[in-house]
Amino acid sequence: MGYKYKVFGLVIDSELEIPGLYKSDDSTDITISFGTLPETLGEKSHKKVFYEALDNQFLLKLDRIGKIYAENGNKIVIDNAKSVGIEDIRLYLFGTVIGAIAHQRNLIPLHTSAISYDGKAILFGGNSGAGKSSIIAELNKRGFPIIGDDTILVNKDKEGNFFTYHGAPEIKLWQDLAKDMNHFGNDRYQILDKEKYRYNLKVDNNDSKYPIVRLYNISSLADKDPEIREFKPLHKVKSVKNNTYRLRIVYYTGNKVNHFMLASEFAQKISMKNIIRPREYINPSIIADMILKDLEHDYGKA
Amino acid sequence: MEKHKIIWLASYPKSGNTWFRAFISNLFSKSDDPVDINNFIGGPIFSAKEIFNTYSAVASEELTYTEIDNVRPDIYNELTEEIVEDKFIKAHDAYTYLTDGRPIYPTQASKGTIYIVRNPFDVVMSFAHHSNNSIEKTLNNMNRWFSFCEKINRFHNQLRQQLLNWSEHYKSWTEQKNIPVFILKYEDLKNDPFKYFSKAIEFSGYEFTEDEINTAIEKASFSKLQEQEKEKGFFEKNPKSESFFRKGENGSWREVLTNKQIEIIIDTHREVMQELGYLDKDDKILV
Repeated sequence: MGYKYKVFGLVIDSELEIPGLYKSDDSTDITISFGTLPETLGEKSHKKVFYEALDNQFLLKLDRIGKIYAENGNKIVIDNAKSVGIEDIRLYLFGTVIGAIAHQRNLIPLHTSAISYDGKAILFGGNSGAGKSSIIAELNKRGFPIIGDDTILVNKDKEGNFFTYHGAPEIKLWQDLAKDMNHFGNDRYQILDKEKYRYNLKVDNNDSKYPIVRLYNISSLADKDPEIREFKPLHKVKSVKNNTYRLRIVYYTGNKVNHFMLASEFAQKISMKNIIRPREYINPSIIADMILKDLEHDYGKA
Repeated sequence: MEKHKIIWLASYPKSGNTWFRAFISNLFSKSDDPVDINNFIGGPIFSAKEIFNTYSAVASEELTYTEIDNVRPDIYNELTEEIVEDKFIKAHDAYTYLTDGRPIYPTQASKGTIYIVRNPFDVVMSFAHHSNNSIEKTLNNMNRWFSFCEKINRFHNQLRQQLLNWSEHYKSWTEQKNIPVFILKYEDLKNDPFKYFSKAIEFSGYEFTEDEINTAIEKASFSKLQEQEKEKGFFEKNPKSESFFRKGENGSWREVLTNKQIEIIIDTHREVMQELGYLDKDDKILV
Protein backbone atom coordinates (compact mmCIF):
# COMPACT_ATOMS: atom_id res chain seq x y z
CA MET A 1 0.00 0.00 0.00
CA GLY A 2 2.66 2.42 1.01
CA TYR A 3 4.11 2.75 4.45
CA LYS A 4 4.73 -0.25 6.73
CA TYR A 5 5.07 0.24 10.46
CA LYS A 6 5.08 -1.81 13.61
CA VAL A 7 3.26 -0.45 16.65
CA PHE A 8 1.40 -2.20 19.51
CA GLY A 9 3.04 -5.39 18.20
CA LEU A 10 0.98 -5.11 15.01
CA VAL A 11 2.29 -4.53 11.51
CA ILE A 12 0.37 -1.79 9.75
CA ASP A 13 0.35 -1.30 6.01
CA SER A 14 -0.79 2.27 5.56
CA GLU A 15 -1.67 4.69 2.79
CA LEU A 16 -1.26 7.39 5.42
CA GLU A 17 2.26 8.38 6.32
CA ILE A 18 2.59 8.41 10.10
CA PRO A 19 5.83 10.13 11.14
CA GLY A 20 7.77 8.72 14.04
CA LEU A 21 6.64 5.09 13.85
CA TYR A 22 9.04 2.14 13.72
CA LYS A 23 9.27 0.68 10.20
CA SER A 24 8.74 -3.02 9.54
CA ASP A 25 8.78 -5.50 6.64
CA ASP A 26 6.89 -8.26 8.46
CA SER A 27 3.56 -9.60 7.25
CA THR A 28 0.65 -7.20 7.58
CA ASP A 29 -1.86 -7.38 10.45
CA ILE A 30 -3.84 -4.20 9.73
CA THR A 31 -4.37 -2.08 6.64
CA ILE A 32 -5.06 1.64 6.77
CA SER A 33 -6.54 3.20 3.65
CA PHE A 34 -8.48 6.26 2.58
CA GLY A 35 -12.02 5.87 1.27
CA THR A 36 -15.55 7.19 1.30
CA LEU A 37 -17.52 5.92 4.26
CA PRO A 38 -21.31 5.77 4.66
CA GLU A 39 -23.12 8.03 7.13
CA THR A 40 -24.31 5.02 9.09
CA LEU A 41 -23.65 1.31 9.50
CA GLY A 42 -27.34 0.74 8.94
CA GLU A 43 -30.54 0.34 10.91
CA LYS A 44 -29.23 -2.48 13.09
CA SER A 45 -26.13 -0.65 14.31
CA HIS A 46 -25.91 0.68 17.86
CA LYS A 47 -25.82 4.45 17.57
CA LYS A 48 -23.89 5.93 20.46
CA VAL A 49 -21.98 9.08 21.34
CA PHE A 50 -19.50 9.75 18.50
CA TYR A 51 -19.74 6.19 17.17
CA GLU A 52 -21.77 3.38 15.72
CA ALA A 53 -21.03 -0.29 16.30
CA LEU A 54 -22.10 -3.71 15.02
CA ASP A 55 -20.46 -7.13 15.23
CA ASN A 56 -16.80 -6.46 14.48
CA GLN A 57 -17.57 -3.11 12.90
CA PHE A 58 -16.91 0.27 14.45
CA LEU A 59 -17.47 3.73 12.93
CA LEU A 60 -16.07 6.81 14.64
CA LYS A 61 -17.96 9.96 13.66
CA LEU A 62 -16.57 13.33 14.61
CA ASP A 63 -17.66 16.28 12.47
CA ARG A 64 -14.40 18.16 12.86
CA ILE A 65 -12.27 15.35 11.36
CA GLY A 66 -14.65 13.14 9.38
CA LYS A 67 -15.09 9.39 9.91
CA ILE A 68 -12.80 6.46 10.71
CA TYR A 69 -13.96 2.86 10.32
CA ALA A 70 -12.46 -0.27 11.92
CA GLU A 71 -13.44 -3.79 10.89
CA ASN A 72 -12.53 -7.31 12.04
CA GLY A 73 -9.45 -6.05 13.83
CA ASN A 74 -7.53 -5.86 10.57
CA LYS A 75 -8.88 -3.00 8.48
CA ILE A 76 -9.05 0.75 9.07
CA VAL A 77 -10.57 3.16 6.55
CA ILE A 78 -10.26 6.92 6.94
CA ASP A 79 -12.80 9.19 5.30
CA ASN A 80 -10.82 12.38 5.39
CA ALA A 81 -13.54 14.52 3.83
CA LYS A 82 -12.47 17.44 6.00
CA SER A 83 -8.89 17.19 4.71
CA VAL A 84 -7.47 17.42 8.20
CA GLY A 85 -3.80 16.78 8.87
CA ILE A 86 -2.09 13.76 10.34
CA GLU A 87 -1.95 15.42 13.81
CA ASP A 88 -5.75 15.55 14.01
CA ILE A 89 -6.16 12.01 12.75
CA ARG A 90 -3.50 10.36 14.89
CA LEU A 91 -5.11 11.58 18.12
CA TYR A 92 -8.10 9.33 17.32
CA LEU A 93 -6.24 6.63 15.36
CA PHE A 94 -3.97 5.74 18.30
CA GLY A 95 -6.76 6.32 20.81
CA THR A 96 -10.35 5.33 20.17
CA VAL A 97 -9.75 3.48 16.88
CA ILE A 98 -6.88 1.28 18.08
CA GLY A 99 -9.06 0.60 21.16
CA ALA A 100 -11.85 -0.66 18.89
CA ILE A 101 -9.37 -2.72 16.81
CA ALA A 102 -8.03 -4.28 20.03
CA HIS A 103 -11.55 -5.22 21.16
CA GLN A 104 -12.16 -6.78 17.73
CA ARG A 105 -8.90 -8.79 18.02
CA ASN A 106 -9.83 -9.98 21.53
CA LEU A 107 -6.94 -8.11 23.10
CA ILE A 108 -7.51 -6.01 26.24
CA PRO A 109 -6.90 -2.33 25.54
CA LEU A 110 -6.06 -0.77 28.89
CA HIS A 111 -6.28 2.94 29.59
CA THR A 112 -2.84 2.81 31.15
CA SER A 113 0.70 4.08 30.68
CA ALA A 114 3.67 1.77 31.07
CA ILE A 115 7.42 1.63 31.59
CA SER A 116 9.91 -1.19 31.33
CA TYR A 117 11.45 -2.24 34.64
CA ASP A 118 14.28 -4.59 33.80
CA GLY A 119 12.33 -5.82 30.74
CA LYS A 120 9.07 -6.22 32.65
CA ALA A 121 6.03 -4.06 31.88
CA ILE A 122 4.80 -2.00 34.81
CA LEU A 123 1.39 -0.47 34.06
CA PHE A 124 -0.18 2.65 35.60
CA GLY A 125 -3.96 3.07 35.48
CA GLY A 126 -6.47 5.51 36.94
CA ASN A 127 -8.95 8.14 35.79
CA SER A 128 -7.96 11.00 33.48
CA GLY A 129 -5.92 13.44 35.52
CA ALA A 130 -4.74 10.80 38.01
CA GLY A 131 -1.14 11.33 36.93
CA LYS A 132 -0.34 8.31 34.72
CA SER A 133 1.69 10.26 32.17
CA SER A 134 3.49 12.40 34.73
CA ILE A 135 4.65 9.28 36.59
CA ILE A 136 6.04 7.54 33.50
CA ALA A 137 7.64 10.83 32.41
CA GLU A 138 9.43 11.04 35.75
CA LEU A 139 10.46 7.36 35.65
CA ASN A 140 11.69 7.85 32.09
CA LYS A 141 13.82 10.76 33.30
CA ARG A 142 15.46 8.24 35.64
CA GLY A 143 16.28 5.87 32.78
CA PHE A 144 13.27 3.55 32.58
CA PRO A 145 12.08 3.20 28.95
CA ILE A 146 8.50 4.17 28.14
CA ILE A 147 6.49 1.30 26.63
CA GLY A 148 3.38 3.36 26.00
CA ASP A 149 1.32 6.30 27.20
CA ASP A 150 -2.44 6.21 27.69
CA THR A 151 -3.20 3.04 25.67
CA ILE A 152 -1.60 -0.36 26.25
CA LEU A 153 -2.78 -3.48 24.42
CA VAL A 154 -2.65 -6.63 26.52
CA ASN A 155 -1.90 -9.88 24.65
CA LYS A 156 -1.96 -13.45 25.98
CA ASP A 157 0.32 -16.22 24.69
CA LYS A 158 -0.43 -19.95 24.44
CA GLU A 159 1.01 -20.58 27.90
CA GLY A 160 -1.42 -18.06 29.35
CA ASN A 161 1.14 -15.32 30.02
CA PHE A 162 0.13 -11.70 29.58
CA PHE A 163 2.46 -9.37 27.70
CA THR A 164 2.54 -6.16 25.70
CA TYR A 165 4.53 -4.37 23.03
CA HIS A 166 5.52 -0.75 22.46
CA GLY A 167 2.57 1.55 21.89
CA ALA A 168 2.61 4.74 19.83
CA PRO A 169 5.97 6.46 20.46
CA GLU A 170 4.54 9.53 22.14
CA ILE A 171 3.62 11.01 25.50
CA LYS A 172 0.98 13.64 26.30
CA LEU A 173 1.79 16.13 29.03
CA TRP A 174 0.18 19.23 30.46
CA GLN A 175 2.22 22.37 29.88
CA ASP A 176 2.95 23.03 33.56
CA LEU A 177 4.49 19.60 33.92
CA ALA A 178 6.21 19.56 30.54
CA LYS A 179 8.44 22.47 31.49
CA ASP A 180 10.24 20.17 33.96
CA MET A 181 10.64 17.44 31.35
CA ASN A 182 13.26 18.89 29.02
CA HIS A 183 14.53 15.44 28.13
CA PHE A 184 11.58 15.03 25.72
CA GLY A 185 12.94 17.86 23.54
CA ASN A 186 10.88 20.24 21.45
CA ASP A 187 9.29 17.84 18.96
CA ARG A 188 5.81 18.55 20.26
CA TYR A 189 2.27 19.44 19.11
CA GLN A 190 -0.47 21.23 21.01
CA ILE A 191 -3.63 19.18 21.54
CA LEU A 192 -6.71 21.15 20.38
CA ASP A 193 -7.53 24.07 22.68
CA LYS A 194 -5.85 22.42 25.68
CA GLU A 195 -2.69 23.47 27.47
CA LYS A 196 -1.48 19.98 26.71
CA TYR A 197 1.18 18.75 24.29
CA ARG A 198 1.98 15.52 22.51
CA TYR A 199 5.71 14.80 22.43
CA ASN A 200 7.22 12.40 19.90
CA LEU A 201 9.47 9.83 21.51
CA LYS A 202 12.50 8.44 19.72
CA VAL A 203 12.09 4.82 18.66
CA ASP A 204 15.16 2.63 18.26
CA ASN A 205 13.47 -0.74 18.39
CA ASN A 206 9.81 -1.60 18.47
CA ASP A 207 10.09 -5.38 18.51
CA SER A 208 10.53 -5.95 22.23
CA LYS A 209 7.92 -8.00 24.01
CA TYR A 210 7.33 -7.18 27.66
CA PRO A 211 5.75 -9.58 30.17
CA ILE A 212 3.23 -7.65 32.29
CA VAL A 213 3.93 -8.13 35.98
CA ARG A 214 2.26 -5.26 37.80
CA LEU A 215 -0.64 -2.84 37.44
CA TYR A 216 -0.66 0.17 39.72
CA ASN A 217 -4.00 1.93 39.92
CA ILE A 218 -3.63 5.60 40.85
CA SER A 219 -6.41 7.29 42.80
CA SER A 220 -6.56 10.52 44.74
CA LEU A 221 -8.06 11.22 48.14
CA ALA A 222 -8.42 14.50 49.95
CA ASP A 223 -5.73 15.33 52.49
CA LYS A 224 -3.92 12.00 52.19
CA ASP A 225 -0.19 11.47 52.21
CA PRO A 226 0.87 9.32 49.26
CA GLU A 227 1.04 5.59 49.92
CA ILE A 228 0.93 2.23 48.14
CA ARG A 229 -1.72 -0.25 49.25
CA GLU A 230 -2.41 -3.85 48.40
CA PHE A 231 -5.56 -4.50 46.35
CA LYS A 232 -8.43 -6.40 47.89
CA PRO A 233 -8.91 -9.46 45.62
CA LEU A 234 -12.54 -8.60 44.84
CA HIS A 235 -11.54 -5.12 43.68
CA LYS A 236 -9.04 -6.41 41.13
CA VAL A 237 -11.59 -7.41 38.47
CA LYS A 238 -13.42 -4.12 39.00
CA SER A 239 -10.19 -2.20 38.54
CA VAL A 240 -9.36 -3.98 35.27
CA LYS A 241 -12.89 -3.18 34.10
CA ASN A 242 -12.50 0.48 35.11
CA ASN A 243 -9.14 0.69 33.37
CA THR A 244 -10.34 -0.90 30.14
CA TYR A 245 -10.06 1.55 27.29
CA ARG A 246 -13.45 2.35 25.73
CA LEU A 247 -15.04 -0.58 27.55
CA ARG A 248 -18.51 0.13 26.24
CA ILE A 249 -17.47 -0.48 22.63
CA VAL A 250 -17.12 -4.16 23.51
CA TYR A 251 -20.81 -4.24 24.55
CA TYR A 252 -21.80 -3.64 20.94
CA THR A 253 -19.11 -5.35 18.87
CA GLY A 254 -19.88 -8.94 19.84
CA ASN A 255 -16.74 -9.58 21.92
CA LYS A 256 -18.22 -9.05 25.38
CA VAL A 257 -17.96 -12.59 26.77
CA ASN A 258 -14.40 -13.09 25.54
CA HIS A 259 -13.40 -9.75 26.95
CA PHE A 260 -14.75 -10.43 30.43
CA MET A 261 -13.17 -13.88 30.61
CA LEU A 262 -9.82 -12.48 29.55
CA ALA A 263 -10.09 -9.49 31.91
CA SER A 264 -10.93 -11.78 34.86
CA GLU A 265 -7.95 -14.00 34.09
CA PHE A 266 -5.71 -10.93 33.83
CA ALA A 267 -6.97 -9.69 37.21
CA GLN A 268 -6.19 -13.05 38.80
CA LYS A 269 -2.71 -13.43 37.35
CA ILE A 270 -1.29 -9.92 37.47
CA SER A 271 -0.06 -8.35 40.68
CA MET A 272 -2.06 -5.18 41.36
CA LYS A 273 -1.56 -2.37 43.85
CA ASN A 274 -3.18 0.98 44.58
CA ILE A 275 -1.23 4.22 44.58
CA ILE A 276 -3.09 6.70 46.76
CA ARG A 277 -2.10 10.31 46.16
CA PRO A 278 -3.44 13.58 47.53
CA ARG A 279 -5.75 15.57 45.26
CA GLU A 280 -3.55 18.65 45.42
CA TYR A 281 -0.35 18.96 43.36
CA ILE A 282 2.40 16.62 44.38
CA ASN A 283 5.87 16.51 42.89
CA PRO A 284 6.01 13.40 40.62
CA SER A 285 9.48 12.61 42.00
CA ILE A 286 7.94 11.81 45.42
CA ILE A 287 5.59 9.26 43.84
CA ALA A 288 8.41 7.90 41.63
CA ASP A 289 10.64 7.34 44.70
CA MET A 290 7.84 5.43 46.38
CA ILE A 291 7.20 3.27 43.29
CA LEU A 292 10.86 2.43 42.74
CA LYS A 293 11.21 1.39 46.38
CA ASP A 294 8.16 -0.84 46.00
CA LEU A 295 9.41 -2.36 42.73
CA GLU A 296 12.87 -2.96 44.17
CA HIS A 297 11.29 -4.75 47.11
CA ASP A 298 9.10 -6.95 44.91
CA TYR A 299 11.31 -7.56 41.86
CA GLY A 300 14.84 -6.62 42.91
CA LYS A 301 16.95 -3.68 41.77
CA ALA A 302 16.67 -2.88 38.07
CA MET B 1 -43.03 -0.27 32.12
CA GLU B 2 -42.39 3.29 33.21
CA LYS B 3 -38.95 4.56 32.28
CA HIS B 4 -36.75 5.71 35.14
CA LYS B 5 -35.48 9.23 34.97
CA ILE B 6 -33.20 11.82 36.52
CA ILE B 7 -34.16 14.23 39.29
CA TRP B 8 -31.68 17.08 39.03
CA LEU B 9 -30.38 18.73 42.19
CA ALA B 10 -29.47 22.01 40.57
CA SER B 11 -27.98 25.07 42.20
CA TYR B 12 -25.43 27.81 41.88
CA PRO B 13 -22.32 26.57 43.79
CA LYS B 14 -22.37 26.87 47.60
CA SER B 15 -26.11 27.09 47.93
CA GLY B 16 -26.84 24.00 50.02
CA ASN B 17 -26.73 21.28 47.36
CA THR B 18 -24.44 19.02 49.38
CA TRP B 19 -26.55 19.49 52.51
CA PHE B 20 -29.59 18.37 50.50
CA ARG B 21 -27.64 15.33 49.25
CA ALA B 22 -26.63 14.52 52.84
CA PHE B 23 -30.31 14.61 53.78
CA ILE B 24 -31.61 12.36 50.99
CA SER B 25 -28.67 9.97 51.39
CA ASN B 26 -29.59 9.48 55.05
CA LEU B 27 -33.28 9.32 54.20
CA PHE B 28 -32.78 6.44 51.76
CA SER B 29 -30.14 4.71 53.93
CA LYS B 30 -31.15 1.68 55.94
CA SER B 31 -28.21 1.98 58.33
CA ASP B 32 -28.45 3.47 61.84
CA ASP B 33 -25.16 5.31 61.27
CA PRO B 34 -24.96 8.53 59.24
CA VAL B 35 -24.04 7.91 55.60
CA ASP B 36 -20.33 8.38 54.74
CA ILE B 37 -19.89 11.94 53.38
CA ASN B 38 -17.83 10.54 50.51
CA ASN B 39 -20.69 8.32 49.45
CA PHE B 40 -23.66 10.65 49.07
CA ILE B 41 -26.49 10.11 46.59
CA GLY B 42 -26.39 12.61 43.72
CA GLY B 43 -22.86 12.03 42.49
CA PRO B 44 -20.98 12.02 40.28
CA ILE B 45 -22.03 15.54 39.35
CA PHE B 46 -23.58 16.25 35.88
CA SER B 47 -20.23 17.74 34.81
CA ALA B 48 -18.10 14.75 35.90
CA LYS B 49 -15.53 13.74 33.27
CA GLU B 50 -15.77 10.22 34.63
CA ILE B 51 -19.34 9.78 33.34
CA PHE B 52 -18.65 11.59 30.06
CA ASN B 53 -15.62 9.44 29.32
CA THR B 54 -17.54 6.26 30.10
CA TYR B 55 -20.22 6.85 27.47
CA SER B 56 -18.35 8.83 24.82
CA ALA B 57 -16.16 7.06 22.26
CA VAL B 58 -13.80 10.03 22.47
CA ALA B 59 -12.44 11.27 25.81
CA SER B 60 -13.22 14.85 26.82
CA GLU B 61 -9.50 15.66 26.64
CA GLU B 62 -9.61 14.99 22.90
CA LEU B 63 -12.60 17.21 22.17
CA THR B 64 -13.21 20.95 22.07
CA TYR B 65 -15.50 22.61 24.64
CA THR B 66 -18.31 22.93 22.09
CA GLU B 67 -17.99 19.31 20.96
CA ILE B 68 -18.26 18.22 24.60
CA ASP B 69 -21.30 20.37 25.36
CA ASN B 70 -23.13 19.26 22.23
CA VAL B 71 -23.28 15.62 23.32
CA ARG B 72 -23.87 16.06 27.06
CA PRO B 73 -27.63 15.42 26.76
CA ASP B 74 -26.91 12.28 24.70
CA ILE B 75 -24.58 10.97 27.40
CA TYR B 76 -27.36 11.28 30.01
CA ASN B 77 -30.00 9.87 27.68
CA GLU B 78 -27.81 6.79 27.39
CA LEU B 79 -27.21 6.67 31.13
CA THR B 80 -30.94 6.69 31.88
CA GLU B 81 -31.44 3.69 29.58
CA GLU B 82 -29.56 1.68 32.18
CA ILE B 83 -30.86 2.95 35.52
CA VAL B 84 -33.20 0.73 37.52
CA GLU B 85 -34.78 3.51 39.58
CA ASP B 86 -35.06 7.29 39.40
CA LYS B 87 -31.67 8.87 40.00
CA PHE B 88 -30.76 12.12 41.77
CA ILE B 89 -27.87 13.96 40.05
CA LYS B 90 -26.21 17.09 41.36
CA ALA B 91 -25.62 19.87 38.81
CA HIS B 92 -24.19 23.37 38.76
CA ASP B 93 -24.61 24.06 35.03
CA ALA B 94 -27.18 26.70 34.20
CA TYR B 95 -29.99 25.62 31.87
CA THR B 96 -28.39 26.66 28.58
CA TYR B 97 -28.90 25.78 24.94
CA LEU B 98 -26.47 24.09 22.56
CA THR B 99 -25.40 25.19 19.10
CA ASP B 100 -28.12 22.95 17.59
CA GLY B 101 -30.78 24.58 19.78
CA ARG B 102 -31.28 21.65 22.15
CA PRO B 103 -31.05 22.28 25.91
CA ILE B 104 -27.95 20.94 27.67
CA TYR B 105 -30.22 19.04 30.08
CA PRO B 106 -31.93 16.11 28.31
CA THR B 107 -35.70 16.71 28.36
CA GLN B 108 -36.87 13.11 27.91
CA ALA B 109 -34.49 11.76 30.56
CA SER B 110 -35.50 14.32 33.20
CA LYS B 111 -38.27 13.80 35.76
CA GLY B 112 -37.84 17.11 37.52
CA THR B 113 -35.43 19.55 39.12
CA ILE B 114 -35.08 20.59 42.73
CA TYR B 115 -33.48 24.01 42.38
CA ILE B 116 -31.77 25.12 45.59
CA VAL B 117 -31.17 28.86 45.88
CA ARG B 118 -29.41 30.87 48.58
CA ASN B 119 -29.13 34.63 48.97
CA PRO B 120 -26.11 36.01 47.09
CA PHE B 121 -24.59 37.68 50.19
CA ASP B 122 -24.03 34.32 51.86
CA VAL B 123 -23.13 32.61 48.59
CA VAL B 124 -20.27 35.04 47.96
CA MET B 125 -18.86 34.37 51.43
CA SER B 126 -19.05 30.61 51.05
CA PHE B 127 -17.86 30.56 47.42
CA ALA B 128 -14.83 32.74 48.24
CA HIS B 129 -13.90 30.37 51.07
CA HIS B 130 -14.43 27.27 48.92
CA SER B 131 -12.33 28.56 46.01
CA ASN B 132 -9.77 30.24 48.25
CA ASN B 133 -10.38 33.43 46.26
CA SER B 134 -10.88 37.00 47.46
CA ILE B 135 -14.40 38.34 48.04
CA GLU B 136 -13.76 40.87 45.27
CA LYS B 137 -12.85 38.23 42.68
CA THR B 138 -15.70 35.93 43.72
CA LEU B 139 -18.17 38.78 43.56
CA ASN B 140 -16.92 39.67 40.10
CA ASN B 141 -17.48 36.06 38.98
CA MET B 142 -20.99 35.98 40.41
CA ASN B 143 -21.88 39.17 38.60
CA ARG B 144 -20.68 38.19 35.13
CA TRP B 145 -21.34 35.32 32.72
CA PHE B 146 -18.98 32.89 34.33
CA SER B 147 -17.80 29.41 33.41
CA PHE B 148 -16.60 27.06 36.10
CA CYS B 149 -13.61 24.74 35.39
CA GLU B 150 -12.97 26.46 32.07
CA LYS B 151 -9.22 26.57 32.40
CA ILE B 152 -8.55 22.89 32.09
CA ASN B 153 -5.52 21.61 33.89
CA ARG B 154 -4.65 18.22 35.23
CA PHE B 155 -6.37 18.70 38.57
CA HIS B 156 -9.83 19.12 37.17
CA ASN B 157 -12.02 16.09 37.02
CA GLN B 158 -14.94 18.12 35.75
CA LEU B 159 -16.05 19.51 32.41
CA ARG B 160 -16.57 23.21 31.83
CA GLN B 161 -19.84 24.42 33.36
CA GLN B 162 -21.57 27.58 32.22
CA LEU B 163 -22.95 29.25 35.34
CA LEU B 164 -23.90 32.58 33.73
CA ASN B 165 -24.29 35.12 36.55
CA TRP B 166 -26.09 34.39 39.84
CA SER B 167 -29.45 35.81 38.66
CA GLU B 168 -29.24 34.36 35.17
CA HIS B 169 -28.49 30.95 36.65
CA TYR B 170 -31.77 31.09 38.59
CA LYS B 171 -33.72 32.49 35.65
CA SER B 172 -32.31 29.91 33.25
CA TRP B 173 -34.12 27.27 35.31
CA THR B 174 -37.31 29.12 36.14
CA GLU B 175 -37.88 30.37 32.59
CA GLN B 176 -37.49 27.00 30.84
CA LYS B 177 -40.64 24.93 30.38
CA ASN B 178 -39.22 21.49 29.58
CA ILE B 179 -38.50 20.16 33.08
CA PRO B 180 -40.76 20.72 36.14
CA VAL B 181 -38.85 22.75 38.77
CA PHE B 182 -39.31 22.94 42.53
CA ILE B 183 -37.64 26.01 44.05
CA LEU B 184 -36.13 25.37 47.46
CA LYS B 185 -34.67 28.31 49.38
CA TYR B 186 -31.70 27.56 51.61
CA GLU B 187 -33.05 30.03 54.15
CA ASP B 188 -36.34 28.11 54.36
CA LEU B 189 -34.45 24.87 54.85
CA LYS B 190 -32.54 26.45 57.74
CA ASN B 191 -35.65 27.89 59.37
CA ASP B 192 -37.94 24.90 59.03
CA PRO B 193 -36.02 21.88 57.74
CA PHE B 194 -38.84 19.40 58.29
CA LYS B 195 -41.38 21.37 56.29
CA TYR B 196 -39.15 22.12 53.32
CA PHE B 197 -37.26 18.84 53.07
CA SER B 198 -40.69 17.13 53.18
CA LYS B 199 -41.98 19.29 50.32
CA ALA B 200 -38.93 18.48 48.18
CA ILE B 201 -39.35 14.75 48.83
CA GLU B 202 -43.01 14.95 47.91
CA PHE B 203 -42.07 16.73 44.66
CA SER B 204 -39.63 13.90 43.91
CA GLY B 205 -42.44 11.36 44.17
CA TYR B 206 -41.36 9.59 47.36
CA GLU B 207 -43.21 9.00 50.63
CA PHE B 208 -41.55 8.86 54.03
CA THR B 209 -42.86 9.08 57.60
CA GLU B 210 -42.28 12.12 59.83
CA ASP B 211 -39.89 10.07 61.95
CA GLU B 212 -37.84 9.00 58.95
CA ILE B 213 -37.54 12.60 57.73
CA ASN B 214 -36.60 13.93 61.18
CA THR B 215 -33.98 11.21 61.65
CA ALA B 216 -32.43 12.00 58.23
CA ILE B 217 -32.32 15.73 59.09
CA GLU B 218 -30.52 14.93 62.34
CA LYS B 219 -27.99 12.64 60.65
CA ALA B 220 -27.29 15.36 58.05
CA SER B 221 -26.76 18.13 60.62
CA PHE B 222 -23.80 20.44 60.02
CA SER B 223 -22.06 19.32 63.19
CA LYS B 224 -22.25 15.68 62.05
CA LEU B 225 -21.01 16.58 58.55
CA GLN B 226 -18.13 18.60 60.00
CA GLU B 227 -17.19 15.73 62.35
CA GLN B 228 -16.99 13.34 59.41
CA GLU B 229 -14.95 15.76 57.30
CA LYS B 230 -12.48 16.21 60.16
CA GLU B 231 -12.21 12.46 60.64
CA LYS B 232 -11.87 11.20 57.06
CA GLY B 233 -11.70 14.19 54.68
CA PHE B 234 -14.18 15.05 51.92
CA PHE B 235 -13.16 14.44 48.31
CA GLU B 236 -15.35 17.27 47.00
CA LYS B 237 -13.41 19.84 48.98
CA ASN B 238 -11.28 22.17 46.89
CA PRO B 239 -7.66 21.19 47.70
CA LYS B 240 -6.93 24.90 48.17
CA SER B 241 -9.52 25.48 50.91
CA GLU B 242 -9.35 24.44 54.56
CA SER B 243 -12.70 22.71 54.84
CA PHE B 244 -15.87 22.12 52.81
CA PHE B 245 -18.42 22.22 55.63
CA ARG B 246 -17.66 25.63 57.05
CA LYS B 247 -20.49 27.24 58.98
CA GLY B 248 -23.71 26.55 57.19
CA GLU B 249 -24.97 29.64 58.96
CA ASN B 250 -26.31 32.71 57.25
CA GLY B 251 -25.37 36.30 57.99
CA SER B 252 -21.57 36.35 58.33
CA TRP B 253 -21.49 38.66 55.29
CA ARG B 254 -22.75 41.49 57.53
CA GLU B 255 -19.33 41.77 59.18
CA VAL B 256 -17.29 41.28 56.01
CA LEU B 257 -18.93 42.80 52.92
CA THR B 258 -18.42 46.53 52.39
CA ASN B 259 -21.38 48.82 51.69
CA LYS B 260 -20.09 49.20 48.16
CA GLN B 261 -20.03 45.40 47.64
CA ILE B 262 -23.56 45.07 49.05
CA GLU B 263 -24.70 47.82 46.72
CA ILE B 264 -23.14 46.08 43.70
CA ILE B 265 -24.87 42.79 44.57
CA ILE B 266 -28.24 44.53 44.89
CA ASP B 267 -27.78 46.51 41.70
CA THR B 268 -26.86 43.41 39.70
CA HIS B 269 -29.43 41.00 41.11
CA ARG B 270 -32.31 43.23 42.29
CA GLU B 271 -35.04 41.59 40.22
CA VAL B 272 -34.36 38.02 41.31
CA MET B 273 -33.62 39.01 44.91
CA GLN B 274 -37.00 40.73 45.10
CA GLU B 275 -38.72 37.75 43.50
CA LEU B 276 -37.21 35.45 46.12
CA GLY B 277 -37.99 37.78 49.01
CA TYR B 278 -34.34 38.62 49.76
CA LEU B 279 -35.13 42.30 49.13
CA ASP B 280 -38.29 44.36 49.36
CA LYS B 281 -39.32 46.85 46.71
CA ASP B 282 -37.42 49.64 48.50
CA ASP B 283 -34.18 47.63 48.48
CA LYS B 284 -34.46 46.78 52.17
CA ILE B 285 -32.52 43.57 52.78
CA LEU B 286 -34.74 40.85 54.25
CA VAL B 287 -32.19 38.12 55.01
